[in-house]
Order: sequence, then C-alpha cells, then structure tokens
Amino acid sequence: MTDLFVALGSPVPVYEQIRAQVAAAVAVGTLRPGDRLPASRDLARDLGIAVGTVQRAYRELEAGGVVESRRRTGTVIAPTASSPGGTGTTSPPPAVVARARALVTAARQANVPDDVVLDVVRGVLAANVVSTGSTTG
Amino acid sequence: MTVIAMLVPLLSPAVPVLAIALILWLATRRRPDVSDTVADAARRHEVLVSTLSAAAAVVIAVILLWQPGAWLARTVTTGTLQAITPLVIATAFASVRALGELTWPRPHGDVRSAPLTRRTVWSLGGLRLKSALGTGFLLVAGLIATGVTADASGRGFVLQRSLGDGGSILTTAGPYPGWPSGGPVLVALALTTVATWLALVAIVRRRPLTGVPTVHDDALRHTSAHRILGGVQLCLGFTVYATWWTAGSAIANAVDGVPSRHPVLGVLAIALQAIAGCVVAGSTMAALASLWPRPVPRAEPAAPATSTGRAA
Repeated sequence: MTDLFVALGSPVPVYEQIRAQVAAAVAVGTLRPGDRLPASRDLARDLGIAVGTVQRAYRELEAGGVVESRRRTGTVIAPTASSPGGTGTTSPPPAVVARARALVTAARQANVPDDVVLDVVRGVLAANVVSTGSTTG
Repeated sequence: MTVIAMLVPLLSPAVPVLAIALILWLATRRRPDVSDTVADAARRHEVLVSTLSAAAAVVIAVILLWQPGAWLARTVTTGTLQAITPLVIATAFASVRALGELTWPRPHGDVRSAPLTRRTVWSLGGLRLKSALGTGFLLVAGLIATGVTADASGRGFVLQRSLGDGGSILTTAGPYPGWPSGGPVLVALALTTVATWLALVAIVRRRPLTGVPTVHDDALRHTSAHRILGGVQLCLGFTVYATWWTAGSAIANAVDGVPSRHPVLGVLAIALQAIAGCVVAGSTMAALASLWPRPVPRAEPAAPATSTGRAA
C-alpha cells in the first residue's frame, strides 16, 4: 500500500507534492501500469484539501503521460508510464532502484533524516553534472 | 415490588449492553498491537460507536420482544411483528452505526496522509459482505417460495391428494410464511439493506487517522465493517431461521396429515429445517467472530523525523 503525504505549510504547492509522489511511486514500481488511483474527490476528502488541488495534480500527471483518465475506471497509471521508451516518467533500470532502496535502508539504520538523504542525492547529482557535464538526472 | 416490576423492563437492556461493551473492550485490550496514543484513541472511539449501536439494537429488541398489548391489537396480521423484529433490530443497529461513523475527527495538522489506493464497500466487506448477501439471498428466496406456495389465506400450506373414488383429501397446515407476513419482511429487509449500505459507505469514506500508519487505519476500518456486517448477518440469520423453520414445520405437518407418503415433501421439510439451523448457527458464529478486532500487520521500521514531518 502506498501512502501519500502532503505538508500544507511547505513552500512546495500541494498539487506538486501529490504529482511528485505519484510519479516517484511509478518510477520505483510501487504503482504499476493499470493501478487505479483514488477518485480526486475521495483523495481530497482524505487529505482535507480542495478537490481542485487533487484534480490539478492529476491533470499534470496526465499531461506528463504518467496517468490516464478512463470513463469507467477513473484515473489509472498509464501503460507506458514505466516503460523506458514510454511517454511518461522514464523508469530507471532495476539495479538503480535496488541501489536507491539500499541507500534508504542504510540511511534509516544510521538514523539520517529523509531531508538530509535527499540533500545528499541532490548534491551527488549536482557534483556529477559538474564533473561529467551530463544534463540528465 | 411495584418499583422492581417497573425497573425490570428498563434495566433489562442494560445487562446485554454492558456485556457487549465489556467483550468489545476486552477484545480491544487483548491485542495491543501498538502503543500509539492516536491509535488507542481511535480504537476506543470504535468501541464506543460499536457499543452505542449494540445498545440501540438491544433497546429495540427489548421493546419489540416485550410487545405491548396495544401494538399486537393494531398489527394487521398475526405474527407480522414477530417476523420483522430481527430486521428492525438490524436497521436500528446499522442506522446508529452510520451516524456514529460521522463523528470521527476530520484531518488536522500540517502534514496529512492518505493511501493511494481505492477503498470500496466491496474491498472493505470482503468475505463477510458476501456471506451477509448470501444470507439475505436465502431469505428472499425463502420468502418468494413460501409466498407462491402458500394457500389463498397466505397463512397455511395445503396438500391435496386425489383418491381412487374421485374424491380428494385436503390438508392444511400452518402457520406458513406467505405474503401477509412475507411482504412486510421484504420491506424490512430493504430498509435493513439501505441502512447497512449507508453505514458501510460511511466507513469507507471515513477520513484516515492522522499520524497513524495506514495499516492501523485499514485494520480499524475493517473491524468497523466486520462488526456491522456481523450484527446484521445475525439478524438476517434469525429471520431466515424463522422463515425456513416455520415453512418446514408446516410442510411436515401437512405431510403427516395425508394418509399417503410424500417422500419428496418429507425430505424437503427436513432439509428446510436443517438449512435453517445451519444458517442461524453460521450467522451466530460470524457475529461472535466480528467482536474481535482485525489484527494489525507488523509495521516496517519508521522513518526518522524530518524537518517537514514527512516520511519518505
């Protein structure tokens, strides 16, 4: 079961938090193509936020090819969302996901806060961009 | 003495209500899956709602089973009040439960969480919902069958056997649950179904518990759904028992009254009574099993606190 967390006081807009977490869940395979997302009204009620906020997040995800809206089943993860050549979020190779999981496990064991882990990853990515001139990531 | 006689009907609901509350409280304490304050408070709230719904059911049961003489005089058909009693109890039970589900706290705090999965009445009810629906189907099937096969008065079962000299023997046995009692039971069943469905929808739409892992919220939600389904199925089971057992008895009496063997009808009468016994036994077991809360799966190691309070 995947949980969604939103921080209302965060400078990041709530719809962006929802979009990013759904896209991340698809990228690591927690959500698979065909999985149904909660109806926007239900998710808004659960989170205690406006329906329009969730609808905007879903629209952004649909525009990015991560999800698609179907008349009968509602919002589902798009079939092409996790395929490397798909139009949605590019799925990383399983080895990369496994190493990311190992990093998180190690960070938890070392009692490193999540924010710090993210800072470390961003720092490594930035350093990699500087050293290799790569624009990916 | 007069005071005691007046207190007996007033206090009689208190004993079963207290017994149910004690069982629910002990069952909740029996499995301290987590020592979280929010989860504990949520479990206490669930026990309170369950106790109140059970209290409403017991009060209605005592009133209906006590049956003041004035009510019986106004009843259109003899036995109608008795026939619908379990379903009226179930409707009261489900209605209070639905109202109680509206009293859960709304999401609060800066950090909110929700599962990214769809909750439906079917996914929440699971096997218990199918079991309750099956019991309801048995009731409807039994009522339609007895309504069609009852005599013109709707209160008896007629067995006719032609004799060799052109005459015939007519045997009528009753009481038989024909349309005069079956119709009100079907109406009561519809009301029970609506009340139960509304209560389940209220449980599905209940806001997630703030600051508690989803597995705890999910377990508590399933506990609520199973308890209401257990109570409703118990009432349905008793109604099926009353319908099928009464029909079986009437058929058996009619077969005994005809000086010729009707092996098929004799077996049918026994089968109806056997099924009635199995249904009420199964429903009672299901209701008792629903008293125990659904266990919470072992949680994964929690994420350390972050500056935003968000767990990745």
